[in-house]
Amino acid sequence: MLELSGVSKSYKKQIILSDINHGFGKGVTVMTGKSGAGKSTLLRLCASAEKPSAGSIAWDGNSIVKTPRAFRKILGYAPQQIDFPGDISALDFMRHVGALKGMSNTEASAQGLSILSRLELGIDAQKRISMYSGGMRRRLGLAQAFLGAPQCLILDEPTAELDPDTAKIVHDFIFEFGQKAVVIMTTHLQGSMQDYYYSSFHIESAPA
Amino acid sequence: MNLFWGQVNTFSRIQLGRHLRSPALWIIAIIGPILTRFIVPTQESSYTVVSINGAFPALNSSVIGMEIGIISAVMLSPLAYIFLRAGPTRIVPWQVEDVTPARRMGQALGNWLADTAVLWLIMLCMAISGIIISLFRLPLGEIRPHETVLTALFIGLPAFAVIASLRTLFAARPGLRGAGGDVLFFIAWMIGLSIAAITFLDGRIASPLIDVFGYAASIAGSTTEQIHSVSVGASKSVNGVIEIDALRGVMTAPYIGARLFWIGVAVMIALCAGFIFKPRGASKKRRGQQAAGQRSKLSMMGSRLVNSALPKKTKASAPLCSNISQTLTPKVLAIFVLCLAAAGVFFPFRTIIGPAIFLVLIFPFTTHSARWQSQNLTGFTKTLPSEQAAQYGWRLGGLVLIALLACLPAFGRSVVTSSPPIFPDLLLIVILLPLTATALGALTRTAFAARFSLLLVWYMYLNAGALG
Repeated sequence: MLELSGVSKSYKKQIILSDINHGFGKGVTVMTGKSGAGKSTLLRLCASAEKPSAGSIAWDGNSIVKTPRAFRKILGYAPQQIDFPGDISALDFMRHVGALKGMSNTEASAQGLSILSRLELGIDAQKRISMYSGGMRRRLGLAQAFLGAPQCLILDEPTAELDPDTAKIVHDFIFEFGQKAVVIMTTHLQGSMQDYYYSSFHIESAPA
Repeated sequence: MNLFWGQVNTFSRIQLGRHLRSPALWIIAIIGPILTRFIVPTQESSYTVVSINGAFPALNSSVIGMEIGIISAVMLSPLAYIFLRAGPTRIVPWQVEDVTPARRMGQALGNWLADTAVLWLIMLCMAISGIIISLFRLPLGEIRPHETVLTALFIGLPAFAVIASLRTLFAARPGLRGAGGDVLFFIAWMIGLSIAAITFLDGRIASPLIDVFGYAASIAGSTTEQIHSVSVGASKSVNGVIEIDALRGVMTAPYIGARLFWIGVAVMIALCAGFIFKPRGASKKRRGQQAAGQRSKLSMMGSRLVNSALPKKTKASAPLCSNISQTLTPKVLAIFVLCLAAAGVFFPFRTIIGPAIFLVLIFPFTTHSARWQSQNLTGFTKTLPSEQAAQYGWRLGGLVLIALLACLPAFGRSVVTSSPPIFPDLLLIVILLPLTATALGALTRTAFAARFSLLLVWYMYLNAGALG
């Protein structure tokens, strides 16, 4: 379980998040809130990409702020935007991320291909990323997060730029994964998720 | 026409604003003047930066300006180029820019104006610091600030305008936006220096128009003595002191005309950049090949070679193998490196194989050093279980291993045949090359600074080998 206690974040004098308290359990939680409310910032904090200005974030009682390494071993994180190295293939990208997650080349290749196929990128796995469309890149960014079967999955707008059919494939995959892991995500397609069971967590804009 | 100048105005203001907001510019503007302390050594110093016929030019206000101008134009111009290519204006929203109806000439001229203005600002800081240095180097009555500033600026400003125009030119064509442009600049820089040196030395006098960096012509015009040798860069003064009038060297009509000519050339190059501009994106042929998944036979051979050589089942070495595999992208590189390594058994290392391996490895190493460095990619990779420092370690380790394997046959040959020791060469290729690529890639987030610096090192290494 990922537990947030009194989490605040500010950049210089601008307060982005103020006193957030919430516990994310197994299953899918969709984070909602207005544009600029701080959803992506909160996801970055949850993914240990940034440290909160105040408060604590803990995974199973262990602070991910003080000791992020243990948490990162069970984390899968797909940020909203990734500047992919365009001159390598998608499978090479998966192998590299897999290697940094402690997987062998064989493991990362097999698992990477399986995930890419599930997201309908299997036949394009050997293509250079520079040849990928916006939607394909979005799915590749999502695919790497699933490598290593993480226990905590943090996804920032995983279905942005996707057509309804592809978005459904992605949602199916995420919700299947959510049966055995903590999944926190944001989406602008909440309307298309009526067939799935999920919790909501609403963020209000921090007071100015 | 109004529309054209409106675009020039807009682009130059936007680009200049980006430069001025960048801390990099202000850091350089502070470091530059501090550097002038070393550019202008005292008469008692054990070294000189400009020596004429092996002698130290007697210090006066104009000589101080000349030393600052020459060192800036000759030695610091590659750094100025690095600053422009790797600096704050390197990121452009080309996806949007390339499809706007803006006139490319106006855009190119605006960009050139901004780049030139920034380099001139730095040059002005250097010239003003020359006045401050003269307070410590000269008796108070002999300080003539206008001589220092005029001499430094007459030499330095046109050279920097040309540097900025080359940057604009190389940003206009797909083949020159990357490594091709760096190599071409490097060649242009060497040719510019060499032609001036060849045509002015050994007592010959030529037109200042030939001297783009303005150093040889200014020195030739500053003395009535016949010039046999000029040395630019730190060297030991051996023949005492030579009296020169550096202001006279730059205040002649031909010299001023030549400097204006080079500023005009810079404007023409910038306009030419707009004229030959080609939008970004891969060529249709290459895109078609990639979309169809076609690869050349050599590339497939290289791919098989890399795949068979790297272990696949161990977790511990997986990051190292991944870095090696990516560094050797496109995989045809693996074949080239293998051929060069094999040639090390047959050819001398110092003069042929060492420089060849160094040159071939510069490009993949520097490309890989920046491959995972964009801001939001590092924002993501730092959330992976492998620590950032470890990721740099794997990257460096991969490069060191490739360089070591490339040099190994030559090393074996040198041991067996008792050839001259190649340890210094190995140190350069196996340690310095990967380290510089990794460090500068991480610091600047681009391949450019490392690539260019290493090309300079390669040139020195090549010459050191040629001189024995």
